[in-house]
Amino acid sequence: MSQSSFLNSISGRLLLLGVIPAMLVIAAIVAWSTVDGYRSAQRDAQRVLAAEAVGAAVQLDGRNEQWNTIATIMATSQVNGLFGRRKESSELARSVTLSSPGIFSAYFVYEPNADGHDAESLKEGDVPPEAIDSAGRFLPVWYHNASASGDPSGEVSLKPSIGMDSLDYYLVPKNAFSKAGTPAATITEPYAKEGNVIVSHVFPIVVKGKFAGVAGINRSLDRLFEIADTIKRRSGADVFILSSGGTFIAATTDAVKSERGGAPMKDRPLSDTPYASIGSRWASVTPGGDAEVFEDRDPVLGEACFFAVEKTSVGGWTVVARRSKSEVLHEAGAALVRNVILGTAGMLLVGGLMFFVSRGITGRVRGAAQAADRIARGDLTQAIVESANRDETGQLMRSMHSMDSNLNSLVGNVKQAGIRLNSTATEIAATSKQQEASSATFGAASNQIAAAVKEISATGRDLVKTMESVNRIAAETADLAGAGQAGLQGMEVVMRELDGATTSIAAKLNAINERSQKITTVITTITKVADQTNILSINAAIEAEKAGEFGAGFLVIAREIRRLADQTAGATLDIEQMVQQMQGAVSSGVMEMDRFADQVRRGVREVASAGAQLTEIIDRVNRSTESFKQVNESMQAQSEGAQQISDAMSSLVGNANQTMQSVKEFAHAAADLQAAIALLRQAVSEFKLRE
Amino acid sequence: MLSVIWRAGGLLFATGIDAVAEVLSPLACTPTPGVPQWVRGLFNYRGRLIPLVDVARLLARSPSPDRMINRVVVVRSTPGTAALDSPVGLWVEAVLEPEALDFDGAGMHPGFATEAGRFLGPVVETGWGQVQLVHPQELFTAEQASVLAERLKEAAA
Repeated sequence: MSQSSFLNSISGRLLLLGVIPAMLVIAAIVAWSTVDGYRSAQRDAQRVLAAEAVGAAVQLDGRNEQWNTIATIMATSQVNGLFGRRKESSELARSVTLSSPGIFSAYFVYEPNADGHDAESLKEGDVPPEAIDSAGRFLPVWYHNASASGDPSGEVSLKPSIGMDSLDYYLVPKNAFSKAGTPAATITEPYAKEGNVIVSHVFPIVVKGKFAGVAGINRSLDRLFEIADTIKRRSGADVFILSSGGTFIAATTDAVKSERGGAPMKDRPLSDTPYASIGSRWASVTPGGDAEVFEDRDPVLGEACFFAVEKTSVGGWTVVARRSKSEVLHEAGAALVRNVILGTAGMLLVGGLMFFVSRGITGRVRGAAQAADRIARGDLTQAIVESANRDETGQLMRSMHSMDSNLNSLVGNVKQAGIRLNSTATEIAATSKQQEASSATFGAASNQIAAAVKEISATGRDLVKTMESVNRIAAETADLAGAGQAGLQGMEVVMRELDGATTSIAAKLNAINERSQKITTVITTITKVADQTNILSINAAIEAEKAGEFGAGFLVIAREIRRLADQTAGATLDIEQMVQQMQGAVSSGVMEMDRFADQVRRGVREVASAGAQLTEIIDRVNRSTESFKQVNESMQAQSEGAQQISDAMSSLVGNANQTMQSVKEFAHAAADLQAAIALLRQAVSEFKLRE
Repeated sequence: MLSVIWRAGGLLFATGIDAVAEVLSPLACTPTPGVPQWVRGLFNYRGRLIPLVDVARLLARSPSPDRMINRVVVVRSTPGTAALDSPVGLWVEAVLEPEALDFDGAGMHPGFATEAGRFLGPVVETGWGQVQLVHPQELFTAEQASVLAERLKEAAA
């Protein structure tokens, strides 16, 4: 095969247009993603390192803020009334020390004679002698001591403070207040004390605008090593923590860590350590925001490292997180090797597959082209090989194979059919003549049937009309019964109202009865009064008689009073009788009303039952109307059905006529068919067939 | 003479108004043992206990049932008589009217001299019917008076 024929073949084109461009693209992607992955790994490592530094700074801020708050509360309690109450202040320092094992000691230190009690403290036994100095200055320190004897609980001891003129814990807050004019919490530089590394959280006591002393706590920094170690375990980064003065407080690297214990390196400033050269840049970092990342050569490890630096906002401590650059880039390098291997393997796989596939396709397409050429010449003698392949070329070969065999059988069948068709056409011609005759007979019979069906349809319509009128009458009956029912319902309402009215009348009569009983009570009272008046008048007459002629006038008045009393008694008797009569009348009225109400209720019940019966009648009428409707509908359907049959019969007659016509045409067509078959047989004879 | 007319046992009687202390409404009294049947009992009259005499029974007439119209006529004690040193309440069926009656007029019955009718005086015809005068100080026999006096003394003690 020459160079040009290979490039014109399917395999050559697939290689040129498919495989080579695909390999180029894969190679480009591998190269680009490797470079990009290398860069982003470096960026990600820096970002993670910065996040670790910020996290540590935030954690330290939280702790420092918490300790500062305790010192602030102690100082505030002094300003708010505890100042000068030395015994209570000392107790407060003691309880603060006891409150947490993290507190190494708690203390108050007053300026000399700030509260004016220095002299009396020397004399009185109220303030413990350990809480004052030789001049009586108040400076108690309570501290944790396992072998303590100064406290009954055996946990804390008291001693006087020292070094007010030289140590940070006193001088720093004092100077800061005199400079700023407002009190603020201070964290001192760390210092070693009895095997512990300690910082002081101090708050100045300001009384009436003047510095009067300090309140504060000392705490151990041992916990900071735990925080640094936790970060190291989690992220693999080394951590340094430096105080605001640039002294190492904690670290995870062996180089610095090894100096813990004996002579603590915390007393050594940054300038004393190997990191002095690169550490000078860390001072420029400001608290808050993201950490700054520097890339420097680590003087201890002797290789390039990333340093993420962040400052705490409380105490101004510096947190440094360190990771070696080679460690970071080692991960990116592994990714590069993986990408190259995978890319090369992918390219080889694609090339091999393309070559294999194109070879199969080319062979099958060539076979198909040769077979099609042969069939075009009318040569059906040679069979086409069927392919087992399932792709489009395999399908093509299968289609060619079935086309070849179908053509073979088709042409054979056509030849056979030509012979049979000829004889069939002759038979058709004869049959069509016979059919023509029977169609004519069918037309006559259909006409008769159509006439009969029309008559049925007409009768059905009449019946439907009759049913409609019956239905209408039933509906009218239902309406009338409905009206009757409405009337009865109205009557029932009226009777119920009547029932209500009689009940209310009976109630009123009862009320009258009660009133008349009250009247009787009143009458009894009046009668009693009249009786008493009678007695009074008699006694008056007796007295008047005894008074002789002086009583004569009074005698007349007594008689008149008696006469009035008698009249009253008589009148009350009349009223009593009338009331009794009225009560009798009312009672009989109540009875009469009850009887009437009973009758009315009975009437209501009867009306209701009549209404129910009427409802039933209406229901029945409605139901029968419903069945009338159904009958009516079915009759209508029947009538329509008859009409449809009639229509169908009419069209059937028409069809029969058409059929007769068609049969005639069919006979002509059969003759034409015979002529056409002769032509077909001649054409097919040109194909050569397999035996 | 002005007299108080009253009714007892269905009959009308009169008492001179100077013998009458007061007329009272029917009242309750304390039954007293050992006294005649016609004494209803003792009652408190203006701070002292006095006997209440049922006149209908005293006259051996059947007593009428108790009503609101019944009255108690208190008659004064009469000093000098052997009878009783105390006012006496008379339980009567009704007191009608103080009226001027003329018992001394011509044709009047002077009264009974018999022991049983010693307190009854003359009879006059009035608008109410026949009215007989009663001398209240003669109501009790000496024996009856002494029994009453004894009971009163016991009650006072």
